[in-house]
Amino acid sequence: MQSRRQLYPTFVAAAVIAGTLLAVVLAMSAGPAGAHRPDPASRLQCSGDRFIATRVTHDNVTKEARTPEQLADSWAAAMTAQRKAFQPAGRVNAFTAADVRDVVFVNDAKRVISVLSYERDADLGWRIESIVECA
Amino acid sequence: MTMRKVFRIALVAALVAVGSAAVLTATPASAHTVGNHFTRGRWPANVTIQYGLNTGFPTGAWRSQAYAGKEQWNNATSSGEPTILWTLADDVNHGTAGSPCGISGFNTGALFWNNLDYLGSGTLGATRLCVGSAIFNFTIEFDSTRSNWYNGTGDNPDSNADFWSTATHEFGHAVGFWEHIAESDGACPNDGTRATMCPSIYNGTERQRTVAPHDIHTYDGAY
Repeated sequence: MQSRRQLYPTFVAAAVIAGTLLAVVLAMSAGPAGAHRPDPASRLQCSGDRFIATRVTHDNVTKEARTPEQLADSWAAAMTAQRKAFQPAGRVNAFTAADVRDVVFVNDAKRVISVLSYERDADLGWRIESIVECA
Repeated sequence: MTMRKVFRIALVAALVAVGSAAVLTATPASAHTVGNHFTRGRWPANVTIQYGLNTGFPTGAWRSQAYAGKEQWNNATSSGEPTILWTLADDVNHGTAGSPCGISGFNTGALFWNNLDYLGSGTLGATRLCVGSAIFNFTIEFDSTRSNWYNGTGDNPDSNADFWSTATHEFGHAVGFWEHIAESDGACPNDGTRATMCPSIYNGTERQRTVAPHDIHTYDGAY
């Protein structure tokens, strides 16, 4: 029978390998947004303490051919018509991954006033999931 | 080091890793926590929320099914949860869907019937919250351009989009249930047990008209 001292290196080696395997499994099981995508609301630079959150619901069959940038411009045009306080001066891709995109609009002072979050479905294309913006 | 020892190390390591991963990545059916789903705040405790229908909202069954959708959440109410009442004026200008903070006074909302192409193809509805220290107001808009809405209460024929299901889902967002239950979650199967707050609403079904146990326990946990 092996002594405890002889078995110690075996346990250490097993623990190291197990930790490595566990890290790989956990990394692979992370969501599509990845671990480094910040909460969109944390990007907002509003002058007031209120903001607007929007959640969009889709059907399960309609395909979207537009890019996130095209969709964002379409949204911005509609918001400009609906809310006079919304005056975007520029659009920036704030986060980009294979199937995830966060697009922000900034005002004249370069402050972020809205964040649009998109996710890409393999069959249906890019879809807006949520929006946060200054009220 | 002998081959036998190497094999023993690898076996122990694999067992430990697999066991740990199973524990850490498991999503039990009851894991729809408030922190994961009510990410944009909550309404004040026991608040009464009043809403009305904006100019242009269609009449008849559309209004009945919108009412039925909000009733799902009223019926699920336990202590502290909001109550939604259809008591604001209808067929008047409540403002715009894009400006929920502009609805009259706190704890109010409005329903709109708009072209939602600006939110993308396939959009059924959208809900907005005006948020500060709590949720103050909401708007819901439904797509007015869709040709395949089904606004009845029977079996949804063919591949139509079910308006009642959409209304229940949007009112879920309006009460603060903000993040969808993940499509990969066990609560979102493609069958009759699918929870209302799963991401997509499947055409040709009516399964999301009524709130499911996973919707309710998450909602009850938030208030």
